[in-house]
Amino acid sequence: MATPPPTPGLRKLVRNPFFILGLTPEASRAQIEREGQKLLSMLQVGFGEASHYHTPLGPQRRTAEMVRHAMAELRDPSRRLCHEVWAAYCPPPDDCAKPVGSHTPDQPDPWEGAFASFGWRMS
Amino acid sequence: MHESGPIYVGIDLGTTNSSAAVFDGEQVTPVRNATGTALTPSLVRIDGSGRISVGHRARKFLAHDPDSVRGEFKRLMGTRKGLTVASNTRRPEELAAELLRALRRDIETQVGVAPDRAVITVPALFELPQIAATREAARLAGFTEVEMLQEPVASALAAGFRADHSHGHWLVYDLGGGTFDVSLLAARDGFVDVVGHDGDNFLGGRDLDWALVQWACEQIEREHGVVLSRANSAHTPILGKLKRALEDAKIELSQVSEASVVCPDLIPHPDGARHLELQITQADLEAICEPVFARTVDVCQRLLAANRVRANEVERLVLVGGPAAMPALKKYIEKALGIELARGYDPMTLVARGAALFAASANLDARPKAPAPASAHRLWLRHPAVSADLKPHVVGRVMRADEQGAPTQIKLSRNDNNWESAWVSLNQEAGFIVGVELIARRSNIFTIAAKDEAGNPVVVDPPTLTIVQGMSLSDPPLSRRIGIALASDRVQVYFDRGEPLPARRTFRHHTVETVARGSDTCLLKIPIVQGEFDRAHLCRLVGTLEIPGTGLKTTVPAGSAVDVTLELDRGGNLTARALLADSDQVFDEVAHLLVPEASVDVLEATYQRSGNRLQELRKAAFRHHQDGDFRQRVETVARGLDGVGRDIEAARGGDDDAGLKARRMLLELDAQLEDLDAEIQWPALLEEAKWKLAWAAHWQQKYGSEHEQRLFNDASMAASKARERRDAVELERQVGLAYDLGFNAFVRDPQAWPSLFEQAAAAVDNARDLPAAHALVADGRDALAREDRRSLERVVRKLWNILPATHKQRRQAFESGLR
Amino acid sequence: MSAAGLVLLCVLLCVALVAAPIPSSELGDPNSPRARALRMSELRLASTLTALAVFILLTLYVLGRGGGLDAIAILAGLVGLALMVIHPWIAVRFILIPLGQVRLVHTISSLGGYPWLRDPTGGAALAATLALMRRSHASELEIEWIERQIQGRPLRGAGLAASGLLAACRGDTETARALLRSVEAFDSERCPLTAWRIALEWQMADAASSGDWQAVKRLVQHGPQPSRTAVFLALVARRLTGEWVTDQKLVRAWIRAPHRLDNLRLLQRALRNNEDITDTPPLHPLVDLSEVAANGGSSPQVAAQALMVGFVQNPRAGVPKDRFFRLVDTWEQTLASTSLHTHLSRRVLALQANHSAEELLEQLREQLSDDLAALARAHDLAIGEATGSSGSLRELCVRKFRELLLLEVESTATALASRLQKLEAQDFAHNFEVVTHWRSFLAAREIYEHAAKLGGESLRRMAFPKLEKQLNRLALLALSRFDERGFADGIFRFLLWEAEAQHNEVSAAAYRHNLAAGF
Ligand SMILES: Nc1ncnc2c1ncn2[C@@H]1O[C@H](COP(=O)(O)OP(=O)(O)OP(=O)(O)O)[C@@H](O)[C@H]1O
Ligand SMILES: [Mg+2]
Repeated sequence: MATPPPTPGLRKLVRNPFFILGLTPEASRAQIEREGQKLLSMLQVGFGEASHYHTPLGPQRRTAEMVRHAMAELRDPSRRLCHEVWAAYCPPPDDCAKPVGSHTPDQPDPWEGAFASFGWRMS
Repeated sequence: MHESGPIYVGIDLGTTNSSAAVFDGEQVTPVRNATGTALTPSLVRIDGSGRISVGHRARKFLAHDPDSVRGEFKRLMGTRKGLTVASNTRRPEELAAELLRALRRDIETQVGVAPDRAVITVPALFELPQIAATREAARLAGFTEVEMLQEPVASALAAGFRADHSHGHWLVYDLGGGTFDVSLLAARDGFVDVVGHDGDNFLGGRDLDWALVQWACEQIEREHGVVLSRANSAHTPILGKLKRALEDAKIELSQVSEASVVCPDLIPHPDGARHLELQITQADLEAICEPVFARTVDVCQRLLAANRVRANEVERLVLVGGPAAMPALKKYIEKALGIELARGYDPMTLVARGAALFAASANLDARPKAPAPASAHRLWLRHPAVSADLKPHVVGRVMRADEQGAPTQIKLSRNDNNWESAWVSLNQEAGFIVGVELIARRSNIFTIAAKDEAGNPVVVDPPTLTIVQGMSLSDPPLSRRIGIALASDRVQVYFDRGEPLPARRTFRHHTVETVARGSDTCLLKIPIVQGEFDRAHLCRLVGTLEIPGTGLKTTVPAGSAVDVTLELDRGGNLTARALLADSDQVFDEVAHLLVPEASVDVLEATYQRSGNRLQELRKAAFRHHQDGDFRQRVETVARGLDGVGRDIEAARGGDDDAGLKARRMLLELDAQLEDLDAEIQWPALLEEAKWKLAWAAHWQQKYGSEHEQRLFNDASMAASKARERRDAVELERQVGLAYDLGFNAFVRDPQAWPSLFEQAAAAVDNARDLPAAHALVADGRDALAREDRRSLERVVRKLWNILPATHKQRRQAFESGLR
Repeated sequence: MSAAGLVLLCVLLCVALVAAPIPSSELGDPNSPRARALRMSELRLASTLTALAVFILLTLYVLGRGGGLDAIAILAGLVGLALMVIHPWIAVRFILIPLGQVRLVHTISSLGGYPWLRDPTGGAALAATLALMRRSHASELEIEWIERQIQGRPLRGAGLAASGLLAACRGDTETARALLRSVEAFDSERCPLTAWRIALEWQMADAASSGDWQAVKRLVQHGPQPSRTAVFLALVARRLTGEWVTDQKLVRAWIRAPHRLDNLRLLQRALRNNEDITDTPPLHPLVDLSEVAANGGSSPQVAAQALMVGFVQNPRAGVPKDRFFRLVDTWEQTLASTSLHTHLSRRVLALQANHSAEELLEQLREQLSDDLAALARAHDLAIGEATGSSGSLRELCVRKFRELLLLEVESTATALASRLQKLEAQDFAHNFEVVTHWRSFLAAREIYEHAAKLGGESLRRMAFPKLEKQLNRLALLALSRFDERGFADGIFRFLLWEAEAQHNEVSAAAYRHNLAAGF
């Protein structure tokens, strides 16, 4: 339930309305309304396939609020144009399957007994 | 009458008049009350024995028993204020509930069912507490599920619903009894959008009435030498009577060109009460009302400008509300905006109609739910109830799909037999998606057919579904921006105005102070504010999420990450949640606030303060030779303040609404004053920067090391860049830096410490520890006489330590603990 | 006769020692805690000497009388008991702490003496905490009890260490780390060496248990004389990080340190690790997504976006700063490109937007600079010193980045200021939650230091005065009202260090003054 918010600075990419609706920047207004409406219905009915969307930074969870917001954003031509710029690049899903932040530096040799070495039973 | 189809109910809960409308998928019909009209006056009467009458019946008592009748309670929704009606005290929402109950009865008489679900409209600028109060009123009136919609959006929806598919903009202008709303619609690609709306919560027919009262008072003073004042509570009943008479005259003037006002024994006079007789003409009315009209035009122009639409691009102007009947208004607006009026809309019921249409979009069928036949297979269907799109999708799922004889294939066919879908098989999740085709501007009914595995037809529930084609607005938009106030007095916007509801958003913040685990003195506050201002302190605080030290699992040091989630449901109910990222602890206790009551004394004090600020500004404007535009803006604020002064007077006379209005106006004027202040301070800041830099440069040249001089040059360069950008904050920072460098050099001067000592000694009376300070000053004088620099320096340092530091402190908006 | 004379001499010496005026002329007030502590330690020294002298004398006497060894043993026992009362630490450390006798340890340690001469109250609490840590489970009740013992007294080193360890007992590791790390900020006058050593040991254990052996090594280097376990751990750390340490040395350290059984596995692991390890793990190959984009995409923004995605997916690869600026420059080119401009103009017409392409580009630029600055901040890139040509995206970005950092420090200072305001308005009876304020100071310092690291020298100079004012105010308040000398000095020392680093002589002199003499 608690997915951390996207890193500031990446919101435009990760929460891009076109990605959320699964549409290309060329989509017509009718397509946007139709697709949004369909996704909302699918989410309400609980279709698994609607629960995630693809972004260049990996799959993200989709919620009804996001879809609604995305539709509203794309209704305003000027705002839509800005989002179009950000939706220009989306590699096919398998290229970007790696989710953000999966890179963890490897920890060499932790020593669980370190506190016990000093005689402390608890840390 | 309506047994077959669904019924959607919309209610316009007005300040002066309320109305309701029902929509059956094809037609919107206004609901008539017992007197046969569509309008019910928003009046509630409670008599001595507690009996309640509403609407026209209450109105009858207005003339001879005004104390038992109460109106205009809508304006006080969300305040804690108890309203006294003939020795009964009721909260505003209780009175509103009586009104809603009466409307509900009228609907029942007309359509045969008492509605459980409805849409109720609220002014666009209502804030969360007011909306919550309206919701509570609906609950008290017996509605189980209600949604709120902004009035301008409702009238826009009603005006645009059956629009022909043209391109262009429309303006919907709603001047009501107490509120003014205007919304801008755009028709594009066959879709009609509400592009924006604006308004003034405290502007309406009421202001016209008071302007008339003012005018009448002047006449009375001239003729009878009697001064009537709103601040004098003894005059309140007289003025009330006068206002009612004038309002009637105003309404009369919508039909005729001259009206007379007659009130027997109205005017108190030392020689005995006198009659009032006044003649008022169209021309008088026009002149009196013009300032109010002008204000509405300002708001319209503001809205157009904000959306970059020129007036000549607006195709239609729809007038809504009581005053829209005034010929003077129509003439004025048409001329001032240069837009032709659209005809054919009933200005009094448009809002209720829009609400009914929205009820359909939101799928709020007013009928109680009917039980399904036992043999049928349940389908879980989702589709838009109203769709602008001609080819929407219907999504569904079969419940209990693993049962014997459950459907495996689905087909939809439109009832006019001109369209049907192919047979669609269910997917693994027992769901299906069917794209349907609609007939434009009609209510489209589809029959659902189903087959099981063996190909036998299956009965499903529901057997049909209805989609209305027309302008739709499935999600109510948020009326005012909501965000979190940050410690830097900025606002992190969570939801902008117009945001479709429900909405949820999460942002990551960081704490600015350390909250110790278990400490009862530490408290992390997360203030939630509503309003359009960039500076948090100007916005309205609508709730605070608090994280107490006593509830923490671990100490939360400054700089810790906090994920704050705000969530608004369809009705604008707010919930907030803070997750401490490190310890995984969640807090969601929000202290909700009411609309703060406007105590007259507090208002008065704020008013005085603003007045002083205005005087300062005037002086500064003179000093810095500000241009005409600036002065004009100052004068606009001055006029606004005058209005506030009058409202405060009225509030003293017992008019609570005027008090609320004064409060809001003061807030807005404060924002304007602050803008003006910032502007006027710029030259002062520049001047200060200039002498500080010059002073510092002087000492740097004399005593500065090479390194220091380089730093100094960097700082003054950065300062001049900041000056070019007009970045006051950065300029102050850089100048401060340069000044400190200069000071560093200055203390190397042999005369520095003596002069610093004199400065400190001059301020000694402010010291925290007076005896010690005086002793130190004496020591210093000794050292000065002995020319002992070292001890003098020591004395000065000690003095500095006990003198209170003077520093400008940034405002920490609502004590916000986040950045 | 000569023996009696010796005893007399001894006793006289002791009396003289106790009665002599306290040597330090700065201790004007004979009732000051410091003076009292000194007197106590003198008394202790005197009684120790007396006890020993009496023991020697009596032994001689017994031997002279031809007494047996058993009599001497009884004598030794008695004297030992007396010494135990005079120096409770011996029994506390070797018997009571291992037994986990929290309250008993506290009571006995309250008698004072070595090693808590510089912080008797804090020392007793620290000893009690050590006892608590020997138990398998710490109850909240016990923790609170110990906390109460230090509340309301001026904070000193041992008290601070105890607070840190108690936070650790509660599972609040972050607080424990911050507090224990800050023990060294206390003046050695107010911090018993043992407290410092224990703080270091906990930090070593903490680092070791998360596998940060470099930190273990670092910790042991600048502390006081390390304990046997610390020596052993440090050797293991050196071995594990690839330094050459002989097997014999390791084994010898292991044998010397207590808890051999617990440490055996670690020893084995260290011994196994006998080849040098390369210290740089292989880097993830850097995918040049811009090439991908150049081949596949036709619109100009694709390249920039691909770079951005590449950066976010693998922020540590290569030189992050350089990659970041390449990203910024690519965006700059993109925004300036005619193809984006024509594309936007076309779309503006098609969608009937009420903004022109130029305005949209301006908006994009504004948003981008915000986003890129936030990205740099999120990845802790030190770009505060970077410069770009005036008006470039690079410059805009850096400026916003600096603004973010300054805001972090300034907001912290503002919050501190309003808390101080409340504190100053409180009446004197209110007690000062010194550990809380210390933690507050540490957090503020950390925010400042981090900002200074990322923002560079000029930002450091700009951010400092805001925080300086409030911290100085806090320290002065603590000192003048609550007599928290150690607390105030810790803050003054930090301020002095910063002021000196920035060559701010005036401020530096002020803090030196505050540190030296108080006021
Ligand atoms: N025919 C008329 N001519 C002029 N003014 C009128 C007429 N009828 C009503 N009014 C005025 O219109 C106002 C009421 O308008 P309306 O009924 O639209 O308000 P409301 O919807 O109750 O208020 P609100 O929308 O602010 O809550 C009153 O001030 C009344 O005096
Ligand atoms: Mg109305």
